Amino acid sequence: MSFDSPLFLILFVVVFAWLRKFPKHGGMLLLAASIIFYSFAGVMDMTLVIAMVCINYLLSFYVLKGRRWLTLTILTNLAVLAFFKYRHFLLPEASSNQVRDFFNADILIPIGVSFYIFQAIAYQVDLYKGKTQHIRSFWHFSLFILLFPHMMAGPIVRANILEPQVAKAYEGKIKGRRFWIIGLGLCLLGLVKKVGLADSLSPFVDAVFYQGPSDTYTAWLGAILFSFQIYFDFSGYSDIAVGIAYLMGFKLPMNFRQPYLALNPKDFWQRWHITLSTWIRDYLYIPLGGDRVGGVPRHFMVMVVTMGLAGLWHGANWTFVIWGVIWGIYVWGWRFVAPILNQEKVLSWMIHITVVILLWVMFRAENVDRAISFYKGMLGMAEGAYSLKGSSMEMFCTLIGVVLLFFSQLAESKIANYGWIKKHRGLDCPLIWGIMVGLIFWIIILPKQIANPFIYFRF
Amino acid sequence: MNRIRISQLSAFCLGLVLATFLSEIYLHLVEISPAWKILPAAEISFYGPDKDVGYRIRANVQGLWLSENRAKIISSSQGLRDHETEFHPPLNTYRIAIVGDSITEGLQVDVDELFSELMEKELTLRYGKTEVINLGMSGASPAVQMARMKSLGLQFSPNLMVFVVNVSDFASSIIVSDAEYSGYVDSGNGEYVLGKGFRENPSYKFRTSFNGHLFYQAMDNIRLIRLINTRKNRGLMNQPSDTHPTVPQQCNGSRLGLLAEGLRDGGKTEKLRPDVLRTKKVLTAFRADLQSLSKMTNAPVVLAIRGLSPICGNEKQTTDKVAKGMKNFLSIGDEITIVDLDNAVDGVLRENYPKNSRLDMYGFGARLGQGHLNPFGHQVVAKALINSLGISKKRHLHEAGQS
Repeated sequence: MSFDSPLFLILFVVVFAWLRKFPKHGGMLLLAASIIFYSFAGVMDMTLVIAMVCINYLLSFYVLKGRRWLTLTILTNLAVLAFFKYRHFLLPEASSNQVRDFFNADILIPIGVSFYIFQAIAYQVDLYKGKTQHIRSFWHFSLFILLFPHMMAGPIVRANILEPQVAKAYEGKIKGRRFWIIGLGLCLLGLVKKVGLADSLSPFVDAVFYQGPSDTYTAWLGAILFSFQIYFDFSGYSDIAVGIAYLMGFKLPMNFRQPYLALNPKDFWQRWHITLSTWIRDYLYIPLGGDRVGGVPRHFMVMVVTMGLAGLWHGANWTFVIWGVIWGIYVWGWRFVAPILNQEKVLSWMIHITVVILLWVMFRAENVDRAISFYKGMLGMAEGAYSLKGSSMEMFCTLIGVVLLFFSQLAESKIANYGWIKKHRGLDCPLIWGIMVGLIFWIIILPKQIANPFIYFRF
Repeated sequence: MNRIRISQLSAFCLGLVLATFLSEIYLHLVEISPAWKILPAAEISFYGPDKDVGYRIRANVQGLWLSENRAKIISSSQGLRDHETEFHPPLNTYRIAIVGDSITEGLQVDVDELFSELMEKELTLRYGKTEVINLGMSGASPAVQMARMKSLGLQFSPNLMVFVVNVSDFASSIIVSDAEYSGYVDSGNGEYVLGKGFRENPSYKFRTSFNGHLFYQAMDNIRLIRLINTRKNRGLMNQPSDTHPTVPQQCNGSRLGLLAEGLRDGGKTEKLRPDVLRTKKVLTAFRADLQSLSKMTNAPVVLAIRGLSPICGNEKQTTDKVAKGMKNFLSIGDEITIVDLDNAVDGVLRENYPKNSRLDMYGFGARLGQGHLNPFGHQVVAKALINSLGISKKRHLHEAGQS
């Protein structure tokens, strides 16, 4: 069930009303709602997630006994993830570059598996290190994993942030948040990004990558459009997830902070999929030594391996691995140019955003050959069949559109933040709530022409 | 407290109303801006009730078509997916009326990219003034096409009538039902005729009533009503499936088998299975209607059949039987001729576009090979029809007859 469907809207309204009316039973109600929500993914997916909840719950009692149990727990989780996500990748066909078109094929992996398994691993490691309390109640633990706003595609929430809120839900102490405009505003913003923007860009992006660009203009435009499509799609989902949770009385961490305003790669990863990048930092990069252990070569290896694995996390395709590895090289290599570029912010931004856009091509391409062909198109050696060129007026309007897309990041950074809301608290009133609810309703009612699941459902 | 609650509720409701206005304004603005090709919009409601066919393209409507490929579409004052034209043909103009389903209607492309328009331009260049009237309509089975040609097509006094049909439609269930639109039904004496049972359908009655008229007025002017109507038609809770649009020619073994049996020479009717007998009777009725059309207008009829050369290799034997059977059963001298459209298309591709296949004719963007004809497909079909209709000979006969 997708956040932008009428069925979800109805389900959420029912859950929200019940929570307000019967806060005492908040925990069990939310757990039941989460199970119903996830059950639309299918029996197999449901069975798997329940099994993983049970396994992690049981193992959490042993993790406290020693490192070996922690290792077993982590390996068990990773084995499940590897089996369901990467078994196709390990088959001989994968190496021939004839892997299926990831972005246009049906979703084959259990929905949310990458997210809830990472959440479970984070919990077990934090438990072992004493950074979080042991969740002894099975029902609390279940809701910690299954809470429906975030379980399918994040944000990946740490136990020390979510568990106290889960406990309050079971105690009947969830309160409505202070500013409803935040929750409603995030939901509306997310829907505008997903339905209004990401889904609108999708046909063009899919066409360019499927048929290949026939000219340089199309290649660059296609790459830029995908950069925004994936941003709007994923950040839109995250906004809705955080907004829904907020309305129900939960505070989840924001997952995006206008990443295309970043001036350098480090800044970018502090703005893009923040909860995943902090997970990678805390549970992979630092345990491998980070930049504190060993010399430059060791740091290079750690960075490349970490980012390569981060790429692999996205999916079973060499394009993701290469994408991650190049990101690792780029992040590591930026230190050499940082002293100069830190003084030239505009130049720094232009170089950085160009690299980001180029890397997204590798991420989106069906396979490495197609990515190389696309890059050739960007360099004036186009081999494809699809063109985004039109009349002079159309191309001018497209250019304006692209500029507006970049400016949307600035606008979002100014308005979509807690400080701005607090400053304009007068807007938190029934009239504005009504406008927001009305707009949310009409966006959800918009009939879709083709199925466009949230991109990160595929991961 | 109550007063505060009432005022809060009123403010909330006012907010809902404002949101509705804002959404309506947005939908109007997006249609007239360059962003109509990209941003979410309300799809046109193109069809309305028709007393002879069950449904028709409404006259003088305009809006956006959003499925598969976006296009701005306008219907003519006669309710055609065509440029404006008169019922009475201009002097010295040869008129061809083409009827078909969504492939002929071609809502996914501009009107000037339709194969009917391309035929018109090419035939005018070659032979002098020619008009091709596009009567195509989505979902039109051979029965609906026949009803449409009889009720609307004849008003244009065509010199040649062309039916672009999908062969498997002759054995489908929709051709023998008149519950929603015209179909071949048992008249009571064992013969099949075009039925008008749709007139008893509550939905038809509503749509032809005063309230129905108001509803169409609302849909033409209020974009949010179009949204709701589209949602209702697709199912309120339904999300589009992950499956791609229909492939151009599906493997339809069972229907083709039925057709092959129904078209078999000999075989007493009392020994035929009920479904085979029904198919045979539908074909008989269709043939009779074709003959009466030809006699009424003194104009030839061409049946351009798709699906006789399907992509599914294992159906070759069956489709060969069907092709032979169709020619034997339906064609009558020069009055009614059969054209294998797939064969004609393959011929055009071999001669003019050797690097392309039939799959390149369908679909758009990332859905190439699936769905409806794209501009290239319309070009190929136009050439194929021009090559196979024998226009030159027919035109000569017509002009000879006139003089």
